[in-house]
Amino acid sequence: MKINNKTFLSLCAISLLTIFMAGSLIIYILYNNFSAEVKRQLAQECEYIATALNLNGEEYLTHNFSSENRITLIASDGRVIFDNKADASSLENHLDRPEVTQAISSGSGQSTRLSDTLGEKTYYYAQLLDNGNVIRMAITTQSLFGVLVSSVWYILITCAAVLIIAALISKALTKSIVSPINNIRLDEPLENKTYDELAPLLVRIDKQNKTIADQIETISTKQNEIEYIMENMKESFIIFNREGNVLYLNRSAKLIFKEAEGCGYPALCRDGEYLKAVEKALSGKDSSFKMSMSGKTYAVSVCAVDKLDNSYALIMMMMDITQNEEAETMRREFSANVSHELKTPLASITGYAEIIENGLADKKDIPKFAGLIRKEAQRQLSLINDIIRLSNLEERSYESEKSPVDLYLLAEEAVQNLNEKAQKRKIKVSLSGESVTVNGISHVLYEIIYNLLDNAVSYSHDKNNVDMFVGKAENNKARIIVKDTGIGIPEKDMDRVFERFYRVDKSRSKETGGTGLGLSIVKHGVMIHNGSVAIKSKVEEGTTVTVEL
Amino acid sequence: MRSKFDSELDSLNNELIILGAMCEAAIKRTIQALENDDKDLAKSIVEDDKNIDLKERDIESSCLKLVLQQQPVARDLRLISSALKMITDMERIGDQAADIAEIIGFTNLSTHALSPVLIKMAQATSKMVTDSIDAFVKRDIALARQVMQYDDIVDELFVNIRDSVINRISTGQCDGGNMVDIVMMAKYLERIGDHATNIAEWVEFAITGNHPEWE
Repeated sequence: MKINNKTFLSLCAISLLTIFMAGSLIIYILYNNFSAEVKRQLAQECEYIATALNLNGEEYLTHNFSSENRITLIASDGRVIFDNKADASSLENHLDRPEVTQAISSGSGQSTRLSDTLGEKTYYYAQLLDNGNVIRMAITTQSLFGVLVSSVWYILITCAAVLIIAALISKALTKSIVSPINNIRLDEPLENKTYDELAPLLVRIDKQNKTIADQIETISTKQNEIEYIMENMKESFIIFNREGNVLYLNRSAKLIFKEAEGCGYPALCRDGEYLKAVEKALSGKDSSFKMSMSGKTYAVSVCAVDKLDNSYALIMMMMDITQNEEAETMRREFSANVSHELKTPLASITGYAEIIENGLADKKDIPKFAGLIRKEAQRQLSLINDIIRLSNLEERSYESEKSPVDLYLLAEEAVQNLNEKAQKRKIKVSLSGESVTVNGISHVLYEIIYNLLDNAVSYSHDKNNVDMFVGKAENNKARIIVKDTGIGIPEKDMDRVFERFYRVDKSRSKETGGTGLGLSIVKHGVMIHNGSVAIKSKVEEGTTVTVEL
Repeated sequence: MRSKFDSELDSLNNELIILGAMCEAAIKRTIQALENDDKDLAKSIVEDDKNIDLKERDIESSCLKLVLQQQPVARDLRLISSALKMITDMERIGDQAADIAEIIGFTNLSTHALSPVLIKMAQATSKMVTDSIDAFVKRDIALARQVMQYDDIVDELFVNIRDSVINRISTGQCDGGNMVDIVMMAKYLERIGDHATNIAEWVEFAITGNHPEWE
């Protein structure tokens, strides 16, 4: 209910009640006064007439007499002698009227009777005359009801006026009450100046405002946390709704799929496995698979979440496993290589041993075979040594073993040790440079230099030169350069020469005698010393290896 | 509140892309089978063609249902009518990939001197198919136009293969059966290129309401 109507109704009720109560009280009091006055006047007039009658006799009535009131002269036996408003002879005996009886017995009497007509009332007053007759006067006035009936129009008009005034006042009043309430600023409830009665409400609103602000703060903090995680994780994260439309992609997913929010799942990617997995997940079955996309491999898992009426929303996670896959391939190749490399010498050894065992070999050939067996066993031994050294380099921490080492001295040692091998093939090894000291592990550094030189000698043509430089580089680092004019490395193999057992010469000719581990050892050795290694090479022109430490 | 019609259109769009993905996979696997002379793979391509046919039938009936029940207008009608045309082309692409796979099944051409050119042509057509479906997915007119132009390259490759086959036959340095197979495969690939062009044209129609061939 509107305040306006309520005010209006209460105003009307109060006014009408007031009118009713005041009105009836006033009418009652005034009416009483009025009727008492009428009675008093009637009695007085009656007494005058009685006195006049006593003095002048009945002629007073019949001559020069007029009165608005009804005057009746009644004989002592009740017969009507005179009446100024009616024919006396037609009137009945008046002895039974209470005022007459009263007058006869006590000298005067009065009574009030409602007349036959509604709303009128007649007062009677009777007085005993000296001659035993009774004079009676009557006056007819409106009764209380009559007064009311005659004033009904005034009452109605007043009521209508009250209604109109009440409507106007209630409107104005409502406006003046409500406008301060309407003007309350709910953002800062306590700053308002309004009714004191509203203070508790405002305090409450203020409290609730604060609670709401707190809760929003908490929620948004949480949301931020989740968003940070989602946006910054390396895995791609995608949410689909029940229709299979994309709802959300995190940043790394956007890098893969660009802006794809809102599109259907087939628009995202058309990989067969992916489509199958999403369809399966939409009907509630999780799955994971590997997927190749634009040169990268991803491990993908699709999960159905949030079931409703047999349909599912989906979450898809994609992890870039390209590197893992590559590492896996490399490991597989490595173990295949290791077993192959280890098997080859053994095959020869077993072969020669068998020949000797079966007595197929001449006595004079046995030393030759034994030499071959020893050579193959040596080869295998050096292979195993290399593998052990390599895994040592990979696994151990050398930090504590480092000490100042002169590279030039190590280089001299390596040249000396390789001299014999070089001279066999008439290769001249020359060493140039200066003494340079690095903080490192002596035997690892020696390994690096030795392997580089060994490679250079092995892959040179006969009678070629191998140049080695050991000295300081411009950037104050120690630099080792080994330069040969040998067979070189083809460009397509350049990336892989540091891999274990990788050999440019696939036939693995025994003539060079390498194990395929030399450059791997160099690489790991350099890594331990936080250095760098670079290779420049051209087929049939030679190779230059530069190591900086 | 999304209307039923909208969600039906969305699912039509999705189904169409899935059919496209199936064709793409078919032609990619065909290339693989051709490269490695993989007879099992070739066999499975022929078998999978049935799925493509089924999907085409599916999409066709849902297109007709949409037209009959929803009486689409303007863009929606264009999408549905071009979908009806596109699925025919896609189904043909699947068929032709299966045809090539069938030939791979009973020949051994992986070491043939013309095989690299054939593979090159297959890759070019595969790119056309992928691009035409991409154009549909992304509603990309520029890409669609690119596909239409790329058809010339595939046609040129076909002419190259045809010429070298003719050359070999006329010099008599070849096995006649292989030559016929190579020409047929090349022709199938060329047809696949044409279907991809058709798809690209219908993509443009679906977007702009203007078919490039009407110009």
